[in-house]
Amino acid sequence: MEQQTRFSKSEEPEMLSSDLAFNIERMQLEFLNCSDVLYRHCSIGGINRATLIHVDGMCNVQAVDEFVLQPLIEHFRSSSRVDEVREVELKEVFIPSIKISIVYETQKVIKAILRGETAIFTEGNAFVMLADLVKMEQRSIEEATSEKVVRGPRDAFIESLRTNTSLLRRRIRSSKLKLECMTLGRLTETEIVIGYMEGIVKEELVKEVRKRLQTIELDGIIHSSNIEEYIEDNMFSPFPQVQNTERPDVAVSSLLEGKVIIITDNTPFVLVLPMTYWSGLQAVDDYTDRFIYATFVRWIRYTFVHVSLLLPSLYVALTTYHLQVIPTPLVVSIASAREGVPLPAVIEALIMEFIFEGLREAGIRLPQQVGPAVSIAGALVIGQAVVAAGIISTPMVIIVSLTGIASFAFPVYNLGTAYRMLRFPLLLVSGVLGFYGIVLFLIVLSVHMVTLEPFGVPYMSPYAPMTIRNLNDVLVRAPKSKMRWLQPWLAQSGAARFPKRKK
Amino acid sequence: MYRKITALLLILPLLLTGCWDRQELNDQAIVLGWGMDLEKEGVYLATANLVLPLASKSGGQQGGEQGGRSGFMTESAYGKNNRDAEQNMQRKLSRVIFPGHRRNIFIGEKLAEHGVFSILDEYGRSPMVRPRTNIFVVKEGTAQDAMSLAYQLETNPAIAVQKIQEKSGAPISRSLLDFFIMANGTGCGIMPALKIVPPEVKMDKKSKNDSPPQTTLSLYGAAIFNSRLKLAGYLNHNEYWVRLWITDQLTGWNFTTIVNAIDADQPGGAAADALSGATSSQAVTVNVDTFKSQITPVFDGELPRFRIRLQGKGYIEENDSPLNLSKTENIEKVEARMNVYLEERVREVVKKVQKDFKSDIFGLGDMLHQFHPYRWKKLAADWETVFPDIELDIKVKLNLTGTGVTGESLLPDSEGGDK
Repeated sequence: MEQQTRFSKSEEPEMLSSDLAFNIERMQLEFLNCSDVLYRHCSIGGINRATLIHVDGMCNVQAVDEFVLQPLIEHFRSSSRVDEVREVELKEVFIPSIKISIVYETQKVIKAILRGETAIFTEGNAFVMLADLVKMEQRSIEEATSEKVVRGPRDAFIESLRTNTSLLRRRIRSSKLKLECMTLGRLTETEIVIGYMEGIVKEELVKEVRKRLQTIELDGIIHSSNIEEYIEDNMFSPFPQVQNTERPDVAVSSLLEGKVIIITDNTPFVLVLPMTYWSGLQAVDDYTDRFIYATFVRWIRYTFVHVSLLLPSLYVALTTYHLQVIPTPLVVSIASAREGVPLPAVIEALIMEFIFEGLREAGIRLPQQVGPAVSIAGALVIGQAVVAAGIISTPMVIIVSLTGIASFAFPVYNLGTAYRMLRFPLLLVSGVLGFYGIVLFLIVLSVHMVTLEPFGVPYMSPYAPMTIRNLNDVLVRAPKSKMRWLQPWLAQSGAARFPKRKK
Repeated sequence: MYRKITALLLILPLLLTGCWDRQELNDQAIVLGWGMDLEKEGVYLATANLVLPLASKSGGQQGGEQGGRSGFMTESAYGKNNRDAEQNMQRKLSRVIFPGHRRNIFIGEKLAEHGVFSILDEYGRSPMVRPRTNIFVVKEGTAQDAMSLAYQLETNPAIAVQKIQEKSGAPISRSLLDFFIMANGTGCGIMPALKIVPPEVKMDKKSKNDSPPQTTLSLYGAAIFNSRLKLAGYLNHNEYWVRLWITDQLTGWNFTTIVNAIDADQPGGAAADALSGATSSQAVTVNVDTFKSQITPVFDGELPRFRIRLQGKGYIEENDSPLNLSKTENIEKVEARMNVYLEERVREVVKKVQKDFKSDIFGLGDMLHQFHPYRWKKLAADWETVFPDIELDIKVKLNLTGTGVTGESLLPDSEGGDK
């Protein structure tokens, strides 16, 4: 470790030697105890003429044998000269279909080997030829699991970076789609790609993203969320400021809106930034369904979003402070349902919400075999027995389950978590201050939301600050032919989806 | 750092000052009705109708009352006024009296005769009480009588009278508000009146499960208060629609009158024939659902005269006469007969109000105020004495637009008449 850092920090890069044995020794020192690094020697007549080094499982071994090892051996056999092999000759050896590069620096060789390339060390040459025969095991493209759609493409991003970029490229066949490559993580050397549409995206946004990514100094990037936390503007906000998606179509539509995406190797979740509040409430199905229905569904979603935040606190405030607001027959039926319940409404609500969150948390990580056990315990014990025993009132169970359902109506999961979390302080405030407290809390929340400006884009735009011509994708979902203008906060000024139609 | 401390210091006082009036639902006694009776001068008897949550619960789940418990209880207490009685009542109650749902106020006849001025103040002053409240006078009874009576169709008699009132064709749930408004306008007042009525025919239970009609609450009509807010008299159910129509508040009413069928149905007979001598008469019922009233004050000399034009639109609901309603001229005959009948009724009631009660419950003074504000200023002080002798020119015009699903009666006519 110490040695490594010393090498990498030395001013003059360490060069390879022309002595094959020395080079191999150097490599063996570097990869000491790395059992997955394979050395394959080409000994002709007892003399080692060349050595191939690659990481097991990261390259196509068959191709290495066929296109590298065999031609080499044949070349050495046919060639009469024993001492050295020339660069030009060597290049001729390999069929030109393989990507070959020549490297003189030790560190570069090491990095290339770790990327999965095959290094070909030859006797008498102070360089290494790198054959790019990288082939790693990867899972096939499957259906998105966290963002389901009824109608729309089924494919989802996977862990492999290049597969992911190809998913994008085959949707946007334009040279305007730029995919800049970067390597992050001191030890993991994770490749990331910044994608954006030239001509739509604002230059400053790309610059800002690049700048923030360059400031990341981490030993390892394990998930894309590592990056997310680094580049967020306000990390103490409950609201997500970077959207993530595993759907290429979402990434593409974000790109076309002028957003920037970050693809991280080994993560099937692509970051989309900057996120706005409303983009967190837009689902893919909004754009695949007919627009009237999409608008209707969107309003149902908006309603449920607020239900998930407000319903328990409204119930508590209404029944403990503002009884006169409830219609008389309803008050009588609530009163009769609450009769004999020992706990105050706030405590009742807190306990039930807490239990619900616990059930949800347990449900995520359930091994499949015990799944039914927890749902039976959850549904029967919590739902029924608690009411039958008179510990919790029936309306409270209704409220909590409604809230629970509502909290899953969010198309973007991490926006839902924000609301789910905010429910608890709001519940406490409503138990202490009633409607007054709820309104206070909502005022503070609104102030916070309008002050958020991820990457300089107002979080609540285009609603606050309002750009009227962009509201057709917020309050309603207008037909595609009516959504001409891109958001001025994201796209370059005057950017439109299509030219003005001739009358 | 300082910002955080400042923020915290700003938040903490909220916890100190907030509305700490938290009251759990099961610690409150929900009052649905409130009754006031006069015991003797200066001593009132208050009656509260409280919800029994436990009884409603078992009722809701198993249908019907459980173990003979009804869904309400009444509690009463003496006091010098509303609040005093309420405090005295609280001593008997384990839960805090919560008047936020007090939608119905009952006033005993004795108190109404004594005058309601002294007790109505609280109903307008208390922030807990809704302005949309019903207020009733219990004719020939006390508030307590009316409130203790179990009502079969609803769990609670207070809810029952509220719902009866809603079906009466009068404005819904605003009799208290209207009372306040009227008392400040022409000075008199009007309230719906309730009566405890025994069944028309007494019947004994022959077996346990029989359910013969029982003594119950009924909407009697309206109680009229004079300018000192003392009870002046009652208009019964068949009279108080006149007041509602004239003040343009009526929303629906059935009128039944008898038509001189034989003469009226002569071929080629004029509309006026329907009015001639009732040799063989049968009833016709008309349902009117659109009402319009136009009051115009006219000055001939010192005193005003009022032109009252009442219009209505409806259809024939029942025709027991042999009139063939598939013919337009026969409908016109019914219209003509109805107009005469209604005009007669209106005149009768208006005269009764003018002469007997001397209270301007029709809001004529207000009309005058609107049309001739300066002349009203001169008249306002003496309005009470002027009103009984005011000349009224009343015309009723009905427009019948339908005859139900049939024109001609489905039954054959055996008494003659034109087919």
